[in-house]
Amino acid sequence: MSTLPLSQDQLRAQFGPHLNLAPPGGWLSDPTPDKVVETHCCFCGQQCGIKLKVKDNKVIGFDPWEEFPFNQGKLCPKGVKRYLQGNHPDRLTKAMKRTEHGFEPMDWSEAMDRTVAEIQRIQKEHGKDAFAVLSGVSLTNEKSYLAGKFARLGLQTKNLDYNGRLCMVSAGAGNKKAFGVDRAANSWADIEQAKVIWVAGSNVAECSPITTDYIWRARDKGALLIVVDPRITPLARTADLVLPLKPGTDSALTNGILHLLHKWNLIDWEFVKAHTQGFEEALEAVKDCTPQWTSEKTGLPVEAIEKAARIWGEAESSFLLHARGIEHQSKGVDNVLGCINMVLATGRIGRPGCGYATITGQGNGQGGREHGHKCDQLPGNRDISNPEHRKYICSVWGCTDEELPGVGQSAQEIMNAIHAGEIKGLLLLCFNPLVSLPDSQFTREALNKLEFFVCLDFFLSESAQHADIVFPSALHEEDEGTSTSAEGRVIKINKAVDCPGDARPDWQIMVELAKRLGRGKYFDHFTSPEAIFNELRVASKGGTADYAGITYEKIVKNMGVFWPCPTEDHPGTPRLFEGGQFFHPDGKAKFIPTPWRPPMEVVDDEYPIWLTSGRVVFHYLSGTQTRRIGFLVEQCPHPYLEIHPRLAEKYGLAEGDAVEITSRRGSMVLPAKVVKTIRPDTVFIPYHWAGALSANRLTARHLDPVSKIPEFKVSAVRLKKTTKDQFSPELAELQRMAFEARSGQSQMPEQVF
Amino acid sequence: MVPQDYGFFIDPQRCIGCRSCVGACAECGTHRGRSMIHLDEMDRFDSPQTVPTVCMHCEDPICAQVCPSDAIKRSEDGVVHAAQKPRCIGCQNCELSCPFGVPIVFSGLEQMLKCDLCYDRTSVGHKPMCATVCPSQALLFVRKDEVANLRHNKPLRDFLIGSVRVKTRNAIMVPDPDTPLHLDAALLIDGGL
Amino acid sequence: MSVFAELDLEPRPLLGAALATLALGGAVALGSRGGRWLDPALLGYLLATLFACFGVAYRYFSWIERPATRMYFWHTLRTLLSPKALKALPRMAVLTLDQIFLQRFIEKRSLKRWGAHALLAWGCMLGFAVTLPLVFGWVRFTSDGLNPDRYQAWLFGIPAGSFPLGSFQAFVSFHVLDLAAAMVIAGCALSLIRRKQDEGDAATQRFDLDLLPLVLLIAVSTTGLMLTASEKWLQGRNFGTLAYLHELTVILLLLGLPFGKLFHIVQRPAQVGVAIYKAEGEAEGRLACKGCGAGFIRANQRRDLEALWKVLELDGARHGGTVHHLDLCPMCKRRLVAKAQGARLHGAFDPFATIPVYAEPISDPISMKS
Repeated sequence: MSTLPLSQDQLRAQFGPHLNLAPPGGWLSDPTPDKVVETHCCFCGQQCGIKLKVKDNKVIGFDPWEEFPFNQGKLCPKGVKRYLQGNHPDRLTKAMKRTEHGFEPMDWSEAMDRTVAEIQRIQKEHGKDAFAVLSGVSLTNEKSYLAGKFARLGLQTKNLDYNGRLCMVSAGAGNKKAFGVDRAANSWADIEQAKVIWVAGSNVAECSPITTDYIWRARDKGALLIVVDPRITPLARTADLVLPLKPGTDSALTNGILHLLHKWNLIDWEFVKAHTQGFEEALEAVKDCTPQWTSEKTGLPVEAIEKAARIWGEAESSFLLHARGIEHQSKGVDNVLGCINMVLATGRIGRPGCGYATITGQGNGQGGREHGHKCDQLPGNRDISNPEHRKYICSVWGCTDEELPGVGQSAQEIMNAIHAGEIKGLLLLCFNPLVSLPDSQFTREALNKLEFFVCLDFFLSESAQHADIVFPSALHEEDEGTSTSAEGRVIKINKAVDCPGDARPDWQIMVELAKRLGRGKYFDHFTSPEAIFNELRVASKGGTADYAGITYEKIVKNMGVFWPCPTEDHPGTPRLFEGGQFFHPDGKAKFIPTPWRPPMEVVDDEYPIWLTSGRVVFHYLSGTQTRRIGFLVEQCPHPYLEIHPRLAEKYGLAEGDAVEITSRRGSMVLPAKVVKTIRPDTVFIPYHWAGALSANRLTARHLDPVSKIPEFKVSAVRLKKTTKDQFSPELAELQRMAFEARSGQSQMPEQVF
Repeated sequence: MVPQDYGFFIDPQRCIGCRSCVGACAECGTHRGRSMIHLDEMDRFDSPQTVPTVCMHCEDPICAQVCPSDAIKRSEDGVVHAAQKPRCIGCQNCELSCPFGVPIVFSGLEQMLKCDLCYDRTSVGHKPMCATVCPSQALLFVRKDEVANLRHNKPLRDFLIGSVRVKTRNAIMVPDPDTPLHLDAALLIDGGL
Repeated sequence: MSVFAELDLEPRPLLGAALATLALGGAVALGSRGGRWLDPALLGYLLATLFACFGVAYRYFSWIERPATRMYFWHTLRTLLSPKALKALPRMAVLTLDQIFLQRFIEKRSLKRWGAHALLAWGCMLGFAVTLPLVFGWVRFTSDGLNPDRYQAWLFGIPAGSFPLGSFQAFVSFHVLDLAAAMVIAGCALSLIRRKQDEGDAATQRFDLDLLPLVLLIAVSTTGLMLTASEKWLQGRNFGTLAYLHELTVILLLLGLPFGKLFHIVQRPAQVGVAIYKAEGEAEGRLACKGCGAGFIRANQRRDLEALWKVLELDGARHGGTVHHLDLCPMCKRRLVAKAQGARLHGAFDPFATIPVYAEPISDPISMKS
């Protein structure tokens, strides 16, 4: 049983989130570093270069790394303040067990013994697959690869999945279907050469801020920008054309555009004939998608749709970017394919200034989804159900085919199976499902049903609070390794400081567990991240995501290497599909028809308003790190309900009023933020918080049938005005913390004396 | 000395309101922990537009003219420095008179502080902290002759406040830089900000 | 005359400085009984002090000639001469204690900075308090003619008691300057360390303005201490050279007083005037910003700044004269810049169209049912 031992208040007092406001020693301490380490930001998929200033084994600040080509010193506020996650009062430094009196520190070895004993007991009583692993893609490539191998060969369970399932799997699935490979087709350098930029379902300015400058550079050369989003985001504000469609209608729009491209003969027939197949079927599927039909489905004016098709169709060069807005849907893969169809029909891919990419959200969202971290995948983006692929990996790992489990369940399905009592034990690392999975009340119930739950984390996240044993793991700056950015650029993360206390890198913990489980022969040689990487290189060789020719040395020297890179003398591949060569065996890209279907949940009399959720620039994912950094909390302390004044008026809501939002899953009370920058039939909540403030109390567990991504971006809710005393105590607490952070700043002494 | 051939070019249109500049400003060596850059919402009800403001470094700074203690000095490289600490008496004349709303007087300290173009960085060849990190490059610090290649719009360093002509070291990007930018309160008042 | 023409001295400050120097000269003449009690060994110091007096007074008078300074100066003077002065007296006393004597505002900047400055400031004050009366011939110590073991103190030429050579009183009288020197050296050293650590100061400091005064103060104090050392432990060896060096450094310091950083000592009391001014303005109330409606500017400062702008020949009327530049709060001024830039972008070809084409096309949400 994994119910919480203490009240939320008691846990918060002990484990936070508390705010780290100033560097170690305070602002008045001497800022001269002992050394400066070139590494990367620990947050989103852009993996910006940053230099960390280190003094006395503590990170005391940052310097911009202007030589790193992707961001050239630019950083978002999360990057600027990322160093404050270190030296944090909430940091876990001892293994802990949950008792009736709360979490108590315990001896490392004892924690290991207990964990191994529980794993063995559960697997003996209920079968190997009754113990699952849920992991995350803020981990390095090395750790992601190891998590896959550890689950399959260490624990011998098929049930391994990762939080990339909540991130880019729709894009990955769509890309593999259409192109035969899952990676951004171009490096970002092609964005600034494009004449038209189409951004679908991506709040670029807040979720991938550095990409903003690439788009602006193109616009300075005269490019037009089209933004598809139900909200007027900071980038959309200045766009040449904004298409604020109804949530969940993206594939209707892409179908409508394809219909018009065909009608107006804006198709690159030469390219379509030479390099693609399936165009006829795709056209057949959109033959009824007239502008009137599209307008009806999307709520956009006919002339806007026509203008968009005209701009897109007539462009000399173009770049299409999309992100979670279109992917977090029960037809996420269809939406992605609809975009790809638009790109393929105009033949604008694989050339300078012509490209397509999903903006991967998580730190290592790209690399973490390539090397066997997914329930159906083996390293090198191989397929776990393909006998050839299995054979190769068995040869690399030195195991038999019988030892290698088959396809497991996806992240949400694992949680469903835990809830249903089919999975009894869980190892959780780099994942905070209580905040990030939909229907958080359901997730909480599921975690409470586990017989044994072990968690690896550096802070006691809301999910970790339910664990029986917690191992303290390493922060990003406490270990080295590689990760792969949204561009497909493999970069090197360097160690800046040592782990405090008993904390150690996740890979060491997994290797030790494997040894104690008697599976050491597959893991004993992993004595450093580089040793793991070198095995990953071999395991990925010949796969689509081929890292064979990438070495640590080469990454540092070239400031990143783009895969595929099959041999050590290969320079890497920034732009894919040059000369119309795709990764399917016939070298052609595939059009996949995307017949229209509505979202799984639609508005009705009872729940008449669309709800969509997303990020703010100040927080990252479940907020385990960013909700502990003073500056970021000061800027955005708590969630709110973004609502259009016309809708607000209907409910008598003014700025700051308390509003109760209810869906079929649950309800919550938030302050209203009345803005004209959202569709009047839609409301928005940022999702980074837990408990009573979790937007995912409201979202549903509807999955895309192919990618198994939950439909975070479309739910139906109803609103009710309520009184401010209905705000949760957490909200008041966060407001108080933000206020203290602010006044702390204004009363602070001036400088180094 | 800040090199004369480098300029600071500001384009509020590009600003995405991420406050990286605000966070990074507080990290620099000159005024650790306290940010000197302003980032204001134009009016969140209407639009997500935000406005970043750094000191424009006027040629004949009004703040210095109205300073009773003669504490505000402009160095030869055109940088207007924060009030000299021994002299500043915290009267707020500068804060209330600056045409761009830049200086901040911290009560209690009896001290005006303001953006000084990150003198500790720019005088040794680095970019100011804010312009280095700015993700959208709404704050751009480059060689003056590079701007034409980087930007569609052109730098303007000439403003009208009432009938006061104010010329500055830093520039705002506009399509027609030859006419001074008239900061007419009508834009705020009649436009119903 | 040509030298004066080159110096470009203003007549009014010149007159003020001359009067101040004459007044000091008169006070010296009077206090030293027509020069009879002047110590001939200290004549060099006296001349330098008179020069410093002239320079400081000149700079002070030209400083308060500045329109902005005049505004506060006359305001403070009026307050002091008005019946309100009595009421304001306790407040002024508290402020003077807090800001001039205790320098609490520096403590708020940082405790260490305050410590360094206090050592420096009080060391200097103590030093001047002891030496100036000696230089002016107001105070003198002589051996008691009848009793070589006693010292005789003279105030304005009048005997003011005597004390034995080995007494505590004598020890304090002769070593108070050593204490002052030690304080000054400690304060200067701390300041120099601070300047080395502070990246901002390291970038902006100038040798002549920021470092030279510290170096000079250390030189003055060190040579002073060496005089004591020479007398006490070295049987007066090198005393003559050291005395000469000490005199030289002090004279340099005094000559530099009007030009450099140390002038702020005379400026600082203005802070008390400003505090009173702010308090009066607060009582009068704050006026609202004409952009956003939030109260921000104190009524008296709004009036005086407008007058000051006029004197400076700045015409800040805006919006057809109905709004003055001073009527906008700093935040609205900042927003106005972006607003003006945005307005300028309209019409011209640019990719920065500020208004999206289809921002709000949706009808009533209830009709959105699928």
